[in-house]
Amino acid sequence: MKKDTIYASITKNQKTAISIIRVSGPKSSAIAKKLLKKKLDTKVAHLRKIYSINNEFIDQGVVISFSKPNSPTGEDVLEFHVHGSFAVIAKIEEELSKITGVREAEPGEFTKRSFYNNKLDLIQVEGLEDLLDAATDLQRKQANLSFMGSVSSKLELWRKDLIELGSFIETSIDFSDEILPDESIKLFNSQLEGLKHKIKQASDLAKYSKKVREGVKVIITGPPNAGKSSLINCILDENLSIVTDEPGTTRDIISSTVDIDGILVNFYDTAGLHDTKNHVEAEGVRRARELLKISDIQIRVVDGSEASWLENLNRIPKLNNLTIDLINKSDLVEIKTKKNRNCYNVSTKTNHNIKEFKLSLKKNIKRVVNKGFETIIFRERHIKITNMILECLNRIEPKDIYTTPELIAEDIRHSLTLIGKITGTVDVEDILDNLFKRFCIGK
Amino acid sequence: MIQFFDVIVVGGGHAGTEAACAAARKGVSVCLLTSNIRTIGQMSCNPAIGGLGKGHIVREIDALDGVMGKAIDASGIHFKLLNQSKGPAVHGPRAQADRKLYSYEIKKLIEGFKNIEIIEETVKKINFGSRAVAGLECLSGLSINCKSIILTTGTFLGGVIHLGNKRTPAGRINEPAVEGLTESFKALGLEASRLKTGTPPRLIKSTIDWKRLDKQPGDIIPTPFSFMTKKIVQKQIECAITRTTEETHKLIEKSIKLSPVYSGSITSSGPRYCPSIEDKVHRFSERKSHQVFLEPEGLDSLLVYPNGISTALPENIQIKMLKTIPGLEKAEISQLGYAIEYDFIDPRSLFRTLQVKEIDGFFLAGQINGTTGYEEAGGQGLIAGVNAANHALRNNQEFILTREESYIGVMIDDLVTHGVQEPYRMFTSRAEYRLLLRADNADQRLTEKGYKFGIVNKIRYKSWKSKEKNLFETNKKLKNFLLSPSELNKLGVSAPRDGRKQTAFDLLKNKGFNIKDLERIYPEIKKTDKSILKQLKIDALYSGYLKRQESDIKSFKKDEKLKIPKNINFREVGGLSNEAIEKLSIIKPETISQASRISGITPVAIVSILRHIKRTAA
Repeated sequence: MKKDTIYASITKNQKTAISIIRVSGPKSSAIAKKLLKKKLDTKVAHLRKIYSINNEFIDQGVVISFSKPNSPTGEDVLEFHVHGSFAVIAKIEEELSKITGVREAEPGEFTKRSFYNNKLDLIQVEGLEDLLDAATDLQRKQANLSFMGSVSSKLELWRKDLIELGSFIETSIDFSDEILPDESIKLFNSQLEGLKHKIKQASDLAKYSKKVREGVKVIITGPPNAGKSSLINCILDENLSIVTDEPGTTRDIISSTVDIDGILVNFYDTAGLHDTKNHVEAEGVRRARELLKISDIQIRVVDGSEASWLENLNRIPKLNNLTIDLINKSDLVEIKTKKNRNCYNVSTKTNHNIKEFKLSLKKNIKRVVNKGFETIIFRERHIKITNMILECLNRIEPKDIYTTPELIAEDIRHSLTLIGKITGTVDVEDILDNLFKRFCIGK
Repeated sequence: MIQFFDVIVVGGGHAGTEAACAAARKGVSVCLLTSNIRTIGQMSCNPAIGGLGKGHIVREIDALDGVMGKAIDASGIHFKLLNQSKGPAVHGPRAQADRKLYSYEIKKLIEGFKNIEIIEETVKKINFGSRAVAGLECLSGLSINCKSIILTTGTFLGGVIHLGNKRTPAGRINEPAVEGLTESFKALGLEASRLKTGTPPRLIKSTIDWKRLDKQPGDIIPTPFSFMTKKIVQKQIECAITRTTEETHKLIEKSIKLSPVYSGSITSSGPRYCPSIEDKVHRFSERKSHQVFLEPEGLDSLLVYPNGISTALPENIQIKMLKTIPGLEKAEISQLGYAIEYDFIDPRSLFRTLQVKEIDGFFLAGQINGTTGYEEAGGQGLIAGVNAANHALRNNQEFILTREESYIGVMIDDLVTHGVQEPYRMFTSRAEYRLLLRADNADQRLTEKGYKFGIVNKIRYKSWKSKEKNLFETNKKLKNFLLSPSELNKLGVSAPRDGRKQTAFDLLKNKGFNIKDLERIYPEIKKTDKSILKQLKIDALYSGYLKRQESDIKSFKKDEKLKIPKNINFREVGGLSNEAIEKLSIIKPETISQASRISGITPVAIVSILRHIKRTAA
């Protein structure tokens, strides 16, 4: 059975000036003939009139064709860059659907075909997903590492190390009459330790890069009327607010998501962390405590015009050393703060000291993500598997080379299988199913 | 004159004898065709059976009621369990045989089958009907018709012996080669290539200075190969060890041009793992000396086999070389060492039943498929024998062993999937499930299956069933025997910190906890056979790792069940590279699992094939 030719409008169906309709599959050249009436050279942009099958003029636009396998999906590809009116797109798609063997693409189907045609390995596909979701520059850079294959190539280095370690052990098993010299065993040990160190480093760094992907979490705590909302407005003023449509347990407490210098930051506004008898508030307080545990930076805000401001401040549990204290409403009462860079007397009304606070905030945000940039692994799935690899390697005790080398060999083999699970050389079906579901139509 | 048999086995070597006996066990009529009756069961090279990986195969052959294990138990004169200090999964049983006795034992076992007839003839031509075997013709003019043929010609196809610059067509020293057959196979579309192997000179025992040399005794209690052998009763002997010297190496380096490989006379590749001494000296020039094991060829044999100095250097060099080796200064050569080059058929043309894909009833087994070693040959012979009988019986059964149940399965899968670049030899590292495929549990893995396929006799089966029951019940006892941490402490056994009770089986999982300790804390268990306890100790030791492999094996088995239809056209699959299509079309993998092992076939390609199958089946 021949494969279907699929089409979809790549740009989401919003009103845009230009829209791209991509076609992939064996019928691409037939489609070009039917709708363009003239031949196309590959990989060259042509300005062409686009017609319906009945020779009715639809639009004029830029058309590009690719011949397999040198195309984005590995199949014959045709791209229409047309005016972005709903009418134009709808008409073209209607004409396409009339051709036998041509149908609308399912979510993620283009990427699926790229994967099937060896244009992308699994890590690259995941990187692509991240790239498409990248809202900030840092996320884009990180996603690109994946997509451009540098993650895969680093894993390949781990794999080579493991294979070398494995061969040494296998030799000691299958060639038992050759006695292993001490230097070889020392070499094995140092190579093993070296590899473990590399992998542990990647694993440690991974949790930082998670923050790049998911966003640094900044929690704003303080009693009611301390001015938390005005604070958020101050921050938003300058930075682009990013709207996400993903629901989630913490997300519905998010006040806003902001791009600060290319870093994604999620701000959580919470109810005050006071003990309270009120049932509803108590729930909010509980959630706030949960949030506190997973936050990276905490901003404590109190109303400086209240006499008990210091008491109020101390009653708010501190997260860690990444805490910024703001004594608000300096326009009403000025408070002298120590030359402590993490404590500011500000006014969200007059913007007094807000600039200094923002600088401090940025510094702290950068401290959180800085370690996480040049990492190898950052997806949950990868981190989990990497830790399993470390478990295997940590189980190896060099003295066992003499007594149970087959168990060492087993742990090395299993580690190799696990690396395969990251790149998709094992358990492909499950990973595939999960992954492509998350793509949108046209991708 | 025309005779008829169900199955003809051509060649009386290790593959041929296993094949003939296996087919006979299935009840069909068998003809064992050999150029020389006296050479049936002959060990062409090292008079030894077993080793690492090889020993595992012998156990498997025995678990399926083959003959190799029984023969070596009766004729073995020096038993050694290799890797004894390491874990049980890598123990390799090995034994040196009295060469004459081994051959005698094999012949005795063959004679035990009323339905095997031995005919002394050399095959001239094999007759193929339309893509099926019809029979063969011998040099004398005798014609034999049959339903299946198993070719186990070893090194005899187009064999050429090299000694220095002398070349003599021969299948083995002093035995003529079989000519003409390879050409007829090529005409059928089978690919043939050449490989080489070698053997050391044989020395006269009385001319060796034994007194100067370190002795190597065998194991005090020899471990039998066969599950049916209770004890080794044959007399045991000692071996000796010596080494090559710098002088030896200098001599060889000087004369290297006189060796057939280095003079360019032989271009085919030899085994990397059993190289000639000139290979070893040339390639591992940093090593100042190589070990040489002096193995007497029999209890009252006059000859010694020097293991480690396989060579094809000219006669005068071989003589000079011995003078440089301690203990061999005055040694005399009875038979010179030589290299032999021979044809083999690309095993990718075979199904896993070892039948040639294009020709019904035509089976190949042993060195003809590019393997090296008696054990590797024997394992293939057994498989081919059963399937040749199946074909003759037209019972539509296929006797196939897989990678997760046996080393024989690993070997055959490797051969038919990857082909051979150099002579294929078994190593434990070839098995993914090495912890599972142990020499000690071959019967647990295979005897039941063998019985189902009709090749395991009732006596062995009964013995196995009672062992199985014993294992099962003892296992239960061990797992139900609970001790609390305080009880353990009282008995002087360290208890785990989590305060949970431990079963006797749990305790056995620890390396340091052995059977003596078990008997101490669970005195009743002393009634159980020690061999059963030893077996369960091994199972316990590996249980953690095996559990982890369980899911791997489950998905392997699942993939094994995914059969690829025989008539699939890989060009229609879609999404396959040209290279992949080519490889798949040549190898024609039978299952998804096998396809995934072909080099260059990516998991993406596998997914594509899978979907194609599902779609076209719908």
